Amino acid sequence: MAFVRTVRAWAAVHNTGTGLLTLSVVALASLLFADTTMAGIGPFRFLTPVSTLLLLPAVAGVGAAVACVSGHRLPLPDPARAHAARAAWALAWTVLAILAANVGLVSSSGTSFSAITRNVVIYLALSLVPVSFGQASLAWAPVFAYTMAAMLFGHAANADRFSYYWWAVVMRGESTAAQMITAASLLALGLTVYVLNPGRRIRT
Amino acid sequence: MSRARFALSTLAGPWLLLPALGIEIATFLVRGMPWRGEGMWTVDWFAISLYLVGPLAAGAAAVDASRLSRPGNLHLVVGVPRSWRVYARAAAWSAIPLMVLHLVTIVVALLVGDVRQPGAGWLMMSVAAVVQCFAILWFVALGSAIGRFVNPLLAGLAGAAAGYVLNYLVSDALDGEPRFRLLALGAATVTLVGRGYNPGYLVGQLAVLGITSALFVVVAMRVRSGVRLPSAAGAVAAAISVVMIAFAPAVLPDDRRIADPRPPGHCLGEGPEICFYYEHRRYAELIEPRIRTLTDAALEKGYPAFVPERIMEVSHGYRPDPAEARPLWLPSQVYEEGRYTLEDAAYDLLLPAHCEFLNGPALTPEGYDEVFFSLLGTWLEIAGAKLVDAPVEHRTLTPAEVSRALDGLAACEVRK
Amino acid sequence: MNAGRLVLRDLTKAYGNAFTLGPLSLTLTEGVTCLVGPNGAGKSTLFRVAAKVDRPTSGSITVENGAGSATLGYLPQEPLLPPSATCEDFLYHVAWLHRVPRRQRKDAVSSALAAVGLTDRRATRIRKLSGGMRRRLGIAHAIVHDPAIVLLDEPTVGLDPVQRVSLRKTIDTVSRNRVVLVSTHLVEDIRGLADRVIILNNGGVVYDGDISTLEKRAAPGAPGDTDLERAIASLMGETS
Repeated sequence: MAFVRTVRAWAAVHNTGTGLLTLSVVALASLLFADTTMAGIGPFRFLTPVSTLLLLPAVAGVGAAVACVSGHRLPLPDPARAHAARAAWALAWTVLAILAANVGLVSSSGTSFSAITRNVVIYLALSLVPVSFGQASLAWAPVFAYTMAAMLFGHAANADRFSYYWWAVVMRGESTAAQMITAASLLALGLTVYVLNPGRRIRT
Repeated sequence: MSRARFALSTLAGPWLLLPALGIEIATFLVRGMPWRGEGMWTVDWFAISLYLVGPLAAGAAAVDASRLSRPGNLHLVVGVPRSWRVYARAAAWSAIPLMVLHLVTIVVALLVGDVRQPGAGWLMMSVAAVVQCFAILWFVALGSAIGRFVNPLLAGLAGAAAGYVLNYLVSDALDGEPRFRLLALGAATVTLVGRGYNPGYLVGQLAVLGITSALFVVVAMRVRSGVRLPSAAGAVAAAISVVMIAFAPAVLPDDRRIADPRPPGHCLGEGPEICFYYEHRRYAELIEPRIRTLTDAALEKGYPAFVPERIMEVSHGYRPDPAEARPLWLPSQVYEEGRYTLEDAAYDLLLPAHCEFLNGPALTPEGYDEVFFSLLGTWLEIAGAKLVDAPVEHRTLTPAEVSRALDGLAACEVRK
Repeated sequence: MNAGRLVLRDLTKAYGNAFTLGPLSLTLTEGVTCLVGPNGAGKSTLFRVAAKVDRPTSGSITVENGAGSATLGYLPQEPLLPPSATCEDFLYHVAWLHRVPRRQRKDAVSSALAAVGLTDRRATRIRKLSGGMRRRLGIAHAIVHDPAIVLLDEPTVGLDPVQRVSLRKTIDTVSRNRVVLVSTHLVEDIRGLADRVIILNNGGVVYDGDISTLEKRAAPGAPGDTDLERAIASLMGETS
């Protein structure tokens, strides 16, 4: 009972509502656009059409990072239990974001669970960086910059090379074990920074 | 504290200048700017950066507008006459540095490419560059309008997502017929020689981008029970913007680029005279020697039929009459790799590209491959080279057979 | 509970060459001490250093009571409370961070709400509270873990006269068996609260004592309608 009360209080002082709203939008979009693909942007054609389900994780990652932002700016103690709570909270939101982004697979086979999960993990890791440094309102910036760069510059100009560069992995429809491990490592790094430095001197 | 320092310490938008600089540099370096030297291509190429900078600028502007609109700051906005000016100033601090950076980048690229006599004309190129700057302003204004009604944690996401989605919907689409697209800014990935800008299209973009940007900026807000909502005037302004964007394709020109039928004017040598477009003059050093090797060998070995009086570079808007000159199309490896072999030269000069059977659904006539590759093999052989890869059996032709075959191809017939 | 003591020994805090607080040597004991001074005197700096939010450049701060080191509660000058949390949830979270034992947490929250008169608002979301209520909730968060020392940095700023009177009563309640340090610009707050007054100016203490002694320091030409106002103005170096 005390545990539930503690979790409830923790959720109350964080941006839980905003995170839930964002992930709800992601889940709905995942269902509605499950079979939608993007052939390119502007005059740029992608190597192969990219499923929308690979792009929605960008929004899910930002939403989960926003939910990790505390709603207060008070110089309160930061004991070890708070570190553990932050880590658990962030991991819980990682799971929620993964679930929300994968909802569309119920009705589509346009891409794979592992590819969507990989993208959620990468995007959340990127979003946590601004959050950790007190710039939660800019959590979206590295996510969008990276995604657009991957779209525009992420593959070679000549058609002999039918693959995205290693750094543009979010554009790939299938995932490998190495990619998952790398993504998980990035998230572990992002979570570590967030847990140790939750950005309490925050500018919103 | 100076205004600039105040802006830097309170706004997110001005800081976008740093990543934008990186993006412009990346655009400069990616693919090695293969068609530098072409004025129109240079201007259109740098529109690539706006696919990235645009949504980011919309997101940053949304963050700034949202911060201005939250409790504790809102009184500074709604409590002053013409409150939209507060948002406009914040948006200006985002947009103007980015616009200046983008223009400077284009100017530097034109200088690096040594663009001197652009076929598209300096005036229209300038207008196209200004359109790109207006697009930056448009994204910032869009973000500013959205951010006023969203909390700071989600404002950037909402602004950037809106910028991205609109970029996708109203820019150059990969499918569909040509029609006016507000964010069709160029982003050229092939040579544009032989094309020019459609003035009506560019002016239309300027008008719609400018008017809708202004309307986005003046979207006013009212606060009811702590909830931020657009005022009646603000809602009308937003609605007019949407209508303008939606109906612009119905009234504005369909094609951003129009054909420019002017022939190349940078001509070198004689027997044959080889003419390039001035914007491609830097390729002459690579191409002319190959052609001269072939033509000199042909004349020396008694195959004058191979040698035309004139060779004219082909563009998107111009193709010489086969009776007057042999057409020459510069393949992509010339621009991208700086490579042009004897086989490339011979192939391009022999190819009857004017014939329907090479451009349409009709099948090539029987015997075409044998004749074409025999011509190619013969010419390379007399020039001291060898045809490495041919899909059919071929043989060395006599001068009379060469003459007969070339006359046939000029008439789109196969004559053995 | 025995009230603790807050002991500052040769405390300094320097911000480059721009400003230096101290050296200060003070011992604060049970009751309300009002910290007064012009803007930029170093009041908020002193609070932040005493609350261990900032580190001192030199010197020491000791929080103690007879049984060992005591806890400290701090309300900063511009507290930002989580708008979507209820009063109860927020205080429960703060109590959890302060490691209030599980069995005592619920009672600690109730006591803190009662001390500030917000019991009937326990389930109200913070964004729906008035400014005065939020101030009181801020004080509640500073005492929910029953600290021996409470630091309140300008708790009455922005409140109307009725709210200030109410808040002074709250502080008076809170100060029983506690060391309370309150910073304020308002003479009425000093008269209504202070057992002791410390006046800071240019980073140093220019007065430390009770109100009656302070009033005798009023200079004839100093601005103000009362002896207390004139005394404070004199010590802050202001002239009419």
